[in-house]
Amino acid sequence: MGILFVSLVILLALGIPIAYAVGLSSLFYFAAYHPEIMQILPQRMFAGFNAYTLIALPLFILMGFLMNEAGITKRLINFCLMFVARFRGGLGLVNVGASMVFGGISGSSTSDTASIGSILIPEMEKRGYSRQFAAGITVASSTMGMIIPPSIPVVLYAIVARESVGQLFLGGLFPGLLIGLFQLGMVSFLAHRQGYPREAVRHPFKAVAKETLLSSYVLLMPPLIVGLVVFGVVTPTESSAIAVLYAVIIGFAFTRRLTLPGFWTCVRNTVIISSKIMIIIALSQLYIYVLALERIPETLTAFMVGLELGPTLFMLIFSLIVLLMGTFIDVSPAILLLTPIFLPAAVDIGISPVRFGVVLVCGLAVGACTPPVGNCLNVCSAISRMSIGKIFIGALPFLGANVLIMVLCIFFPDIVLWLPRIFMG
Amino acid sequence: MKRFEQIMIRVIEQVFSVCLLLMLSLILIQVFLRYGFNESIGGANELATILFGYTSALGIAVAIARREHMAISWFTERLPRGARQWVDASGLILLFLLNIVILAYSFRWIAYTGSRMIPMLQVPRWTAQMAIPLGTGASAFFCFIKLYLGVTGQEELGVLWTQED
Repeated sequence: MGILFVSLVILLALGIPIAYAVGLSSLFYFAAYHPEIMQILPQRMFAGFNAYTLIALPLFILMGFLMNEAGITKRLINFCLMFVARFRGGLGLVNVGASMVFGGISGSSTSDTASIGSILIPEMEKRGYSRQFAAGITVASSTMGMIIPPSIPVVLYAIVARESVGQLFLGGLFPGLLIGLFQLGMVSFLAHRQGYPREAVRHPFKAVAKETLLSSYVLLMPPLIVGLVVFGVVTPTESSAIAVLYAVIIGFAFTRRLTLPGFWTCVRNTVIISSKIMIIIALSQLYIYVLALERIPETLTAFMVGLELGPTLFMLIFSLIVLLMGTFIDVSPAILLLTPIFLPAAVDIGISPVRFGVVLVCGLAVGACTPPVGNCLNVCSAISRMSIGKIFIGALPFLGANVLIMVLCIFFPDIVLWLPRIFMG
Repeated sequence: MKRFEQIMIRVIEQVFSVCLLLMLSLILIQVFLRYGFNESIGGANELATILFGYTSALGIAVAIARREHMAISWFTERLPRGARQWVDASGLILLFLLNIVILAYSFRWIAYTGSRMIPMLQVPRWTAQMAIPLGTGASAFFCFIKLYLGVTGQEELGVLWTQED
């Protein structure tokens, strides 16, 4: 068994792509201990591809690309400006507000960082905000994209854990909104302390109503996607296809910024990005098979039950592991590596898989903003021309909100579970 | 060789883009038929899943050619250039070997199980299973090309894989 983990760590350190490091370490294990069952390699890999639900992944990614290409970011920022810009630290509040809505549309934190950061970081700097503050809040607020539905990591977890996508969407909604509210509070607090400006914008009711109407097609999208799944009208895969159609209509007919070459580029980039996740899913099937063969989940479950930790302590320890692992490994592989090991033990201790999944994604969202491996940090570093270390320090007060909500979800499971209970029983 | 690689990438990209759009269309038509006419196309979901398999398998290969797969480059980017070239070349060899091993076993697997029928579509399973040898074959091919281009100095070795998601 040692060969699996030791070779995995060495291969990861050598910069081998994560999916292939997982596949190679499993291959070494099979070659050393079970050469007679090597023929399961293609079969397990195929099992990773062969699931209708997985089609939701590329389609949600495509929807995010198309909405971005359709130019919704500017409209969202204008919409948020009307409501929060008049308060102290207004542009910081706009940054968080836009991320809350954008996260629900793109489902991806990195695209949130890129789209909102490229517009708001230079603008905030011009208005006297420190670049570190602007970059920090952009990175930290983008984490809501992973938690507020529809979220790509949540769909991935639902597939790995074989849980309801609808329940997980609803489970992530309230914690995601709470993170947003806490971050808004933190922006206000810091803006007062550092004397950041208010924006001199007063909008008459008529202008607000007009802008809201103009933005309504963007604002309607997240509830539409989630609602269709939660109320069982369509499957998650069908909902993602409808979302793509919706984005195409918006891009071609409403904003008119989507062009055929742009559409084709979105499709091509979607396949590349989803394939990067799919290879991890496919090759992690080998790793999951080895874990099952060695009875690791059962052993860990027996060990955890023997320790009589209780759900809260178990989740606290688990969240520490997630935070630590999140600093080194990206969100998708971390979900695929951690879920099969810890979920059986969690369920045995009496933890709902929905709560487990939301805490896992919340923790990994923080990991996406921590060095040395943090996707959002890398994107923001390219936009703001600041080192990832400085951006991380700027993001720390806001990431505190994420950690706080994660801890609250551990101590008060109803934060996660009450919405799924109300809507889905 | 470099030009051949570029042509291959373009062709594969066109193929997987068409596959994705076909898959999307099938799903949307299914929803439309279900709610509009209370009808459905038998086997549409299975066909969409097969297309998804091919889309992913080919996308994975292109992601190798484009160095797009996610990796932790924190340690390797701190290595001196020469060492990084060695590490990169070794990595490409390992990727090539893994793909070749899976490719070799996939033919045996398809020979055993490929003639069974997919119930709804009534087509043999090998039509779906072929995505694995196709994808791993293309991936091995791109690993080999990268290695060849690197060794012959037509392309730089020691290139880091992306950290992006």
